Amino acid sequence: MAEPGTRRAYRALLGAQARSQAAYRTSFAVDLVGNMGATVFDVMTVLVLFGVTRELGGFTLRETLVVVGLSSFAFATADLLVGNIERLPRYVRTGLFDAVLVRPLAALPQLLLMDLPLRKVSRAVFGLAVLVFALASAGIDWTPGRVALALVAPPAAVVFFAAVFVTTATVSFYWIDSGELANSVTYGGRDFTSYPVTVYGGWFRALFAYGMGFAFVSYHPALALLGRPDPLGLPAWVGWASPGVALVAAAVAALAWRVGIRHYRSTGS
Amino acid sequence: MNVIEMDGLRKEFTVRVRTGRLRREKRTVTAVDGVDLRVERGEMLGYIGPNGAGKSTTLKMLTGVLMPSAGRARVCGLRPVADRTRLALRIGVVFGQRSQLWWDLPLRDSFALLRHVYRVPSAEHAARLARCRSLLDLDEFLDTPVRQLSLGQRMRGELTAALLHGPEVLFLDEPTIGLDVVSKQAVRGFLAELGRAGEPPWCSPPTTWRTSSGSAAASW
Amino acid sequence: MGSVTATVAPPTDPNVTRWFRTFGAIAASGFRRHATYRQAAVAGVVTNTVFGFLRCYIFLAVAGAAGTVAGYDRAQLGTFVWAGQGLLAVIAIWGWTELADRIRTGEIAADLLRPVHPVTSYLATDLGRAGFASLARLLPPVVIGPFFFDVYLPRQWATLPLFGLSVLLAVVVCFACRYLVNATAYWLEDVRGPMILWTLGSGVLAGLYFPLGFLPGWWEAALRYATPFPSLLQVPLDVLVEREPMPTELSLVGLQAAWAVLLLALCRLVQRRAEHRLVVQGG
Repeated sequence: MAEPGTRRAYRALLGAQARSQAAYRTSFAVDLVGNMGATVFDVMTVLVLFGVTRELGGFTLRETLVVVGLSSFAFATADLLVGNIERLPRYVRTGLFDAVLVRPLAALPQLLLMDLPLRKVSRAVFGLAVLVFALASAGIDWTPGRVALALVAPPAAVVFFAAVFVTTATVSFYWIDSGELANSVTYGGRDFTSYPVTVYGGWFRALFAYGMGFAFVSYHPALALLGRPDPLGLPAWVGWASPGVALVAAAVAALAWRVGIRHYRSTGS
Repeated sequence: MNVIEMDGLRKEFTVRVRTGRLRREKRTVTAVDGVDLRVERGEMLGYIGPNGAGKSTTLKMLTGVLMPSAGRARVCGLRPVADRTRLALRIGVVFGQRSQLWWDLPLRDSFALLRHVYRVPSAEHAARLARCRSLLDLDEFLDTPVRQLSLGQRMRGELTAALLHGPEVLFLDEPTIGLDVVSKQAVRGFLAELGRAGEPPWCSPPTTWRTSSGSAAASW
Repeated sequence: MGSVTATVAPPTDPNVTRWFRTFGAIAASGFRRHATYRQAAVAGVVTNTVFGFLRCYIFLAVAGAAGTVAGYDRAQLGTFVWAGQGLLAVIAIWGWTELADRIRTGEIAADLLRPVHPVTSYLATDLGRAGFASLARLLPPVVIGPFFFDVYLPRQWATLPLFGLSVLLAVVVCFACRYLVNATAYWLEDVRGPMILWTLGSGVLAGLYFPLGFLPGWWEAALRYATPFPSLLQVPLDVLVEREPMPTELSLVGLQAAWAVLLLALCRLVQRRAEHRLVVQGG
């Protein structure tokens, strides 16, 4: 990866992707607006819910917005960077996957760079705006530790969502018709992390929040930033655990990809 | 010296077959059944068989796309799957029904991009491209986006793309499928020329492996 | 519906029978075609179930300790969410680009050569698809939901048949909207703009992200009368949970029917304009 020749090759792939998208200027502009609209509506939904209730799972609107900001920024950015890997079944069907395998570069970065959806930039920028607004208006008592957390938690959440995208995409190595199954974890994860986990209950909360680790994307960092104790009783330092959780998720994703690609080679298209 | 070696190369797929309304059975289908073959440097080989004979599967095992179920394969002395990226620098592949090129970009841009991907010194790249341009008459559509090319033009582009890094072995999977008579002739003529060459910038003519389904066999 | 035979012969009695037979045959083929995608249906049900859990928990949290919000109690919210997750697949709100694709590639010419009006044949196919989806996609979440949440069961016998009718009308309204969005491909080189607008608008305004009752009162009324969106999900779901008294429900379903007729007529008008354009300008 560190070899300069390889880096130049990846940069060239990225440039080509940018140029091919520029070939459709009007569509690109429409897509920029449309993609932002999706995230705007997600945030609007939260506002509508708070129009009929003062509290959601024990959290006020200003507090919930910190959770929402972390979640939408992280999801939108991860979706921009690696979200298109959900098109893996199409890559296999159209033969792009085979074409990528006979080139002298690693398969995953090639796929991601060749199909980088630059139009999703607008969404990531909007997510960042929501996050900044939420952090500024939540009345956070800024300490050096919290400033550090506010800088580390968003990228950690991006890494986490990116890992989720890659891991769920590998399912289609085994089950090519798995269709929207991956959405239940990727987009499901986005919806799950948009609200305090106190909203959910039972084994469903246990599974998504701690089994898959989604509680560390937005909920626990938000608690630590707001200086609120966890109503569910976990210690305060858990808010700082998100980078560690993200690294574990990334390792799982790398392993899943490696095993999956080996499985592809042994069954083929 | 052997550039391609295969000993008892096998590939089996498990498929699920519906046997009743709900029951499904796993069945093993042998796509490639123990192929032994040696191909020498500079040789040109036609790999012929009817549809479904396992030609493309063999080619995919030799290029590192598929893992053999049994047997041993060596291309340029490398193990195709384990040494995939190293092998990729030394071979060129054309999948007749699939494209290696960038759909929305002019052909010229795809070639420039491949120079970076394969890390080819620009002088070498330019020399090979010049040669392909004259042999394959690329000039008239070099600045056309690939999606607007005719099938024959695209295939000439694909051939060029597979040769720009000076591969030792050139794998062609049904390179003339769907082409009209004239384009077929152009591709065949080019391949024959390639086999004769033996001069720079190719240095040594690549070993050429071409799969072709039954009907085309007579015309090869 | 007799007017739909315009491209065939004038509607005399045996022709009407034949028309229904053709319609039925096309619908049956739509059913069978989708019945082959069983694995995709299973994957879809899993996804709907996950989103059922998410939405249910969120709406219940909105209802909070009081237990009611915007005229729904906890059980009604449960039914609203789980039936809604199933309905989503029955009306196939997103992802249909078949018509636009065929227009773009020119394959639409083959459809125009058939003796059945394209709107009719696509509608029949879609009703067949919806028939399969109501078995494979609507039933599972409706059965799964009650295992984990309180749900509301209709108290009046008339509710179920009215719900069935309302779902049928929702399928027709949704089909017509999708047809119109796809048909922009006759005029636009790239239909992503209209598609994106549809995807964004339909989810929020149909009542998928939140029951429209969560909006300020006059909003819901304005959406109902001025747009077809509430007819897609909100109306059938409100009928099912008996949110309004029966006469109001009947008038809501009547409103749905009006939207269905209006939009189908619009589809035919748009199709005629498009064909005229194709003939005159040669596509």
